[in-house]
Amino acid sequence: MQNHNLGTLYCYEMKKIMKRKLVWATMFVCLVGVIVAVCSGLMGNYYVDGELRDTHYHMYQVDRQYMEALSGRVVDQQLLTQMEEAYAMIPPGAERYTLTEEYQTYARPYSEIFNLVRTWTGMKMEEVKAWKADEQALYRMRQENLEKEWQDAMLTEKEKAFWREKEAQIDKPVTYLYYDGLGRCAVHMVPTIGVLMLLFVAVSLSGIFAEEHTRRTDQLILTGAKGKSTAYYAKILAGISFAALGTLVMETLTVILALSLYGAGGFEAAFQLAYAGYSYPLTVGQACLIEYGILLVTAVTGGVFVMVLSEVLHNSLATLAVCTGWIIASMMIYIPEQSRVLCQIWNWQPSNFLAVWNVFDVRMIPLFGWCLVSWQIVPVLYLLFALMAVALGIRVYRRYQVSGR
Amino acid sequence: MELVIDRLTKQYRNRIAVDRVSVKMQQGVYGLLGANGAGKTTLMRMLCGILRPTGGTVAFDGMDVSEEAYRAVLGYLPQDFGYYPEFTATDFLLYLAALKGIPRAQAKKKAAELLELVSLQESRRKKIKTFSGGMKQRLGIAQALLNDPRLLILDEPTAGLDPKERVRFRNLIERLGKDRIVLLSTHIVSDIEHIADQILMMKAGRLIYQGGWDEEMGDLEAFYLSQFAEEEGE
Repeated sequence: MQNHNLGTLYCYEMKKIMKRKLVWATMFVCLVGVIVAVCSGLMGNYYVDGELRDTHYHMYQVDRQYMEALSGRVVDQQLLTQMEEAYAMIPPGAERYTLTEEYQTYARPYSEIFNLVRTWTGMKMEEVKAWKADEQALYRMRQENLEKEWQDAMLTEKEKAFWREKEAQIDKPVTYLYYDGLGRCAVHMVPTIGVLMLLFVAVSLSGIFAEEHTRRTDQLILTGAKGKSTAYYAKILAGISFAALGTLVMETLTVILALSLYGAGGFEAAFQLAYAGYSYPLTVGQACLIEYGILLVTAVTGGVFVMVLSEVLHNSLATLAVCTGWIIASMMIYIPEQSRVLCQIWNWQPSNFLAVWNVFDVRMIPLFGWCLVSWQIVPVLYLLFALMAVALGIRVYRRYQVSGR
Repeated sequence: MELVIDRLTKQYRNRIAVDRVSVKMQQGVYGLLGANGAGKTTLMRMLCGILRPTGGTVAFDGMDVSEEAYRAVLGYLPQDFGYYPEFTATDFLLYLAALKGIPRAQAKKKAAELLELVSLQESRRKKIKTFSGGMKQRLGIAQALLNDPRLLILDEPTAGLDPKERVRFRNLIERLGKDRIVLLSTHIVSDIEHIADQILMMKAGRLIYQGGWDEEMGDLEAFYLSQFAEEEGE
């Protein structure tokens, strides 16, 4: 009686991966990287003219207290006027205004709103300080600033119309909610987790197929009844689930650390508070879920790519070299936004895509009369790519010839 | 039960490793003799479906070598097989049993039986990286028998075995050959001269002798060595 034994083979493939010390060493390095990245904002001291002024941790505590005091307030005329009045207390012409007593006492509690006005309107620091608070003007200037950014991004009229419609769907005036913990997860941590995850996947999975050849166990596998079919899928399944599991561990650690250090609130905060230039009516929490979902999809796709490449190259080191080289090259090569299509495609590849400005890119993808945003279409493209790679991989796998040993 | 090898050929760029080998095998033990580089391993790999021939066909009871059904009746011990150092002997056999499509409960029973057969039952929970060369070879033999193969292909199976183990192994092969086809390659004549029903001798990719051998025909080793002498003379 013959059985497919997919489950059993899957368990053994997982066991093979888990038994590799290199995998655990890489996981350890990645987790240390996550911890350092999350905590780095709280480390170190703040010096002015060589003199210790404060610790970053204490500065953060003060700012957090002020931000939490603002949480729940609507960004309306009243709040904007309070901000304007507070900033007006700063002595004019102060060279480093943040060092003045007036800033520390009156303006600093409103610095979060000040920064919000600055990023929404595109005004410079001095312009905001001189700005006459006006709720209507704030949202109008935000719209104008977005229009300018859309123009710079070479959006088509159809895309602009789409974003205008989305911008109109955002409840205004916006309510400020304290979101720092989730905001760090959604905005700052994604590129870090992304690079660590890609390295983890490359190191962990480059041996799944290649090592069977170097270890010469391939002959035993390929002569088994299920060796040319089920064994392949078991390896792929084990690889992608391990990649996803590793990514989930990194994500979970990031979220736990960020929420415990910076606060757990703000799931319902408008995403525009954390990322000004995006008009889709999302909350910070939703944006975070989208990004972490994309990280998982990328881990799966990256895993499949690494495994298939290792089967093509029959060498885990060569696979690792290609993957690492690709990650480094993609960080160094910049395609100007003027070459819109090329730039957009280049930004879709995993080592570039995993950043808030690419996941929430305003440039859209026209498809069968629809205009899709990148976080909707790119994960689907990744999964399609993964499926194609699996199909190509099994052809290479089945055709492998044991010779010349 | 019949294994039909028809004009099987493997040609590399400027070298013919196996040259139009044709054999029909029925149940029994077939001893494949040949010097290093004669083409034994290449021939065996083609019979196992892990090396594509340049020409010719291989079929077992009408099943082509490329079919899953063929692999289901095949047991193979490669000359230089690898293992997973962190796996225990039992894990290794259960993993290979899963690859052969054997249900887990049946595989556990079979693995225990085979570990006893190759005298590794005491070491069943030890990691393979702690095994001696002979123990690994015995484990290799055990894995080849997991699916009760009707076609058993053993490439230099006695390598690494001590004299006592070699004798036990020869007896085992003799028993196995009663109800299946066993093809066993070696360059040590004593490994097969008393147990092989048929002798196949390879030289430079060709079969130079095929048939039974009995004492009346003279000394097999002397005949085998004479073939080398001819080769050296050439």
